[in-house]
Amino acid sequence: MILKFLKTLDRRIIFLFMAIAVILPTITGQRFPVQPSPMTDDFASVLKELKSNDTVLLSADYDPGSQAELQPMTLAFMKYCFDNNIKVVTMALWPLGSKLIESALNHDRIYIPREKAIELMSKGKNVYVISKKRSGAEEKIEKRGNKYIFIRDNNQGEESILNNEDKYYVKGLYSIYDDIKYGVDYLDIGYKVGGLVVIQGIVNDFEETVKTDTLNNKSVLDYPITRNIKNLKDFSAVFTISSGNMGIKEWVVYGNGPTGVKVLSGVTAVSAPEFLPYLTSKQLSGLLAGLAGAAEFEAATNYYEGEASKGMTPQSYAHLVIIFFILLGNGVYITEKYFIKE
Amino acid sequence: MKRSIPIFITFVSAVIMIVFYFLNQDIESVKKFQAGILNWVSIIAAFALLLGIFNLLFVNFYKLRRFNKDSIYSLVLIVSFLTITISGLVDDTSATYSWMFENMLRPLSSTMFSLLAFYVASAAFRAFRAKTKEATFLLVAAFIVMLGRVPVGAMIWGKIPLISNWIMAYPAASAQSAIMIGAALGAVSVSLKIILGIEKTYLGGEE
Amino acid sequence: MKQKVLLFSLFQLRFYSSAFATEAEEQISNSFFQVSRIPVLLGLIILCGLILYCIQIAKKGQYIFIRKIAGLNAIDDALGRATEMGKPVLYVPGIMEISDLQTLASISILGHIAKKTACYETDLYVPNRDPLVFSTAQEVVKESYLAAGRPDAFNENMVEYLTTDQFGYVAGVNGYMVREEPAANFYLGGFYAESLLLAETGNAVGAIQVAGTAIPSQIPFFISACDYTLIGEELYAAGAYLSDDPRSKGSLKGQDMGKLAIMVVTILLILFNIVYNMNISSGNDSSEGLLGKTFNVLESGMKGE
Repeated sequence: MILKFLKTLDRRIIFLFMAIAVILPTITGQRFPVQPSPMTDDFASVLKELKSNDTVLLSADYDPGSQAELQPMTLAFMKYCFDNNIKVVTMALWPLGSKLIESALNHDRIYIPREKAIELMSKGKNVYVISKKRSGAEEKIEKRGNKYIFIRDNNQGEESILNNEDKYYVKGLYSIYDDIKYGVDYLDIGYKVGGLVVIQGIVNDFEETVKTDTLNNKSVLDYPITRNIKNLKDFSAVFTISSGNMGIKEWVVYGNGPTGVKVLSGVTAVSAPEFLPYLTSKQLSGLLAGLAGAAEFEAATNYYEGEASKGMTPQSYAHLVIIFFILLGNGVYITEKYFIKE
Repeated sequence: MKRSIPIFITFVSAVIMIVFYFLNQDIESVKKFQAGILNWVSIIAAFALLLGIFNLLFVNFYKLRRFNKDSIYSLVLIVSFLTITISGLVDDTSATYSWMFENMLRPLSSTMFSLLAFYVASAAFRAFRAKTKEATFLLVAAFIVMLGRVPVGAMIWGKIPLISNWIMAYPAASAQSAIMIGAALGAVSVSLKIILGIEKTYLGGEE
Repeated sequence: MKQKVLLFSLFQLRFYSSAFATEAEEQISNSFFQVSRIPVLLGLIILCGLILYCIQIAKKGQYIFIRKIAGLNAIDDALGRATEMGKPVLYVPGIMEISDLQTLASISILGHIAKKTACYETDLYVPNRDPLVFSTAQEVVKESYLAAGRPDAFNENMVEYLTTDQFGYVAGVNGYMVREEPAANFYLGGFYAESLLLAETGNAVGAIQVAGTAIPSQIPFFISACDYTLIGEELYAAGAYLSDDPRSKGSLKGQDMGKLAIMVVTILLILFNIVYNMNISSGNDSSEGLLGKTFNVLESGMKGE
């Protein structure tokens, strides 16, 4: 009876276990320590070789579908570049990739420690909080004199104290920097139609292919960051965050192939094994595999508040649930095969 | 005639493209030729998108007119399509467009992707059985890789991530390479058949 | 439309040929030819020569043995089941563009399946993610119904364009599966993360499922959720397998010969490498002697230097 029930286990029961395994650690905020794997260490060491004022090309070749795994990579990579004065030119081979870069810079939650929150507030930046002791909803903090006022959506403010266990964040990476200037430290050339055409175009002539930026629609030659970029070889590295066709493969074959430029990539966990041969042949200089890769990169660059690191605990439990069900399935199979007589 | 002309165009274009691949890419005329061809590809793709959009709207207007229990989906599609298209056309940096992107498209797409976690669990439960010696090896390797890719693996035994990395870097990568080489050869063979007009099924009708 | 398809298919050959030549090609030569690509040219000539030779001998009537591919044999069973149950057949040609050869291989199989659904008078539904694939698929299905002598059974709505958004497309196809409960699902072409989302939903509605892709990372998902899976090159071989044309069968043999040639070259290089390294460890100058020189030439040739 039990064996029959387990053999024909309704998939919704499995779904329920999986949901619990993911939701509970997310609510409790439990954290497991993340250690970078050798693959991520190699990736980080390529980045650490870059010097101040080097320029990298970030190609967001993904869309909101895979953002859960890939957006933390965008955030961690850009943060590392801004922290280390590496200049970033962003583009996208996928139409919505460009919007995700914009989200990373202006909308996504960037968690910060309490001390950083106080520092940013003193500089007049918008800082938000989710306080467990209060509603658990988003509130904006304003410093009025020596008091901190927590303001909700309805604009009603209430004085409160800044607890260490509360979560503080700003919206968008831009908010945590004072000295990042558009056109000098960072430039967005947006979504480019054509995939291969664009890569081949940049390999030959960057300015001719790209022509203008997205924000001001001005020639890329007008910006200090791209004034001296003639073609792909002038970039110190290309980082493609890729979730499918028009992405990593095309950058390796058409970008690294003819120019030898270092191509780094971040991909979803399910597709990572497919690109390992490029890594071993050195056509790809570094690879971040899924959310785990992103979390390891955050650990390698000491970005402990990163989105990916937080996701590793639910992912750990999810893996354990899968292993449990595989063992259960095999237990039923073995019992039926060896212990139950027809 | 209906078949011969496309096949002739294919052959001639293929020869040109292959010859150009082996010419020095720094010669200005080679660059210009390639840029021209690639631009044409983009233009054709853009027009094809229009074709697709017309089909989408036509089919859904048709379903709406027939009116049955599923017509509501067609209505949702048409309304969503028009709303996001119009707001994007008016100003793709507008607050409305950004709001729809941040609060509708991003969560909806993420939800679809997140289903993978659930489906992986149910598929693994159903299909992953140690029926043979080889399947048992695969099963053990899968456990090690699954544990090695998350922090809990290192907490169980410090060597699990290293073994997992070794499995990914050598046996898995070798198998991937073999499949890739096989598939690339298959692709070359199909290309040749298309170029020489042996494979014509994709033109429709008889072989 | 057909010309557009052909133009796109050419890019794929360039893509695969350049995949063999990704190493440093940066030296700028003044010559008219790209000297660094000569190894690619040689590889291409050998490979194409082998395929053409095998096509020739097949044309002359030599018997070409093709092993049984269970997934392709199952197509008829799946179609028969759908007919018996009076339920529709779902055909997903992947999510890649028409320039991808997996899509072209899939479209070719679609032609065969459409002819059969026309004969059996079974409903067929082909949702598309790419507009160019959509127009090609529509043409192919229409022509197949015509060729089967059943143009009256063809309906424009059989082939639909859904959306270019990857997961929007999945939602559309899964919605169709849940509502219509097709009896046979075919997923043939290029797939990424949507492979398991589609296959598990198909499994849940109880359809017979045949899948095939050359994207290595998605093959395990199809294997675990579908009844039959075409692995890698089996997808490309499907057209030849289903066709009666001896030339198509010949090309398969040529392809296998190419694979053999690559295996021989790989083994030779591994042996060279082992002996070369042993030579170094025994204290000899690696660049001296016949062996050292041969290896250096081979190495620089492979790097395109």
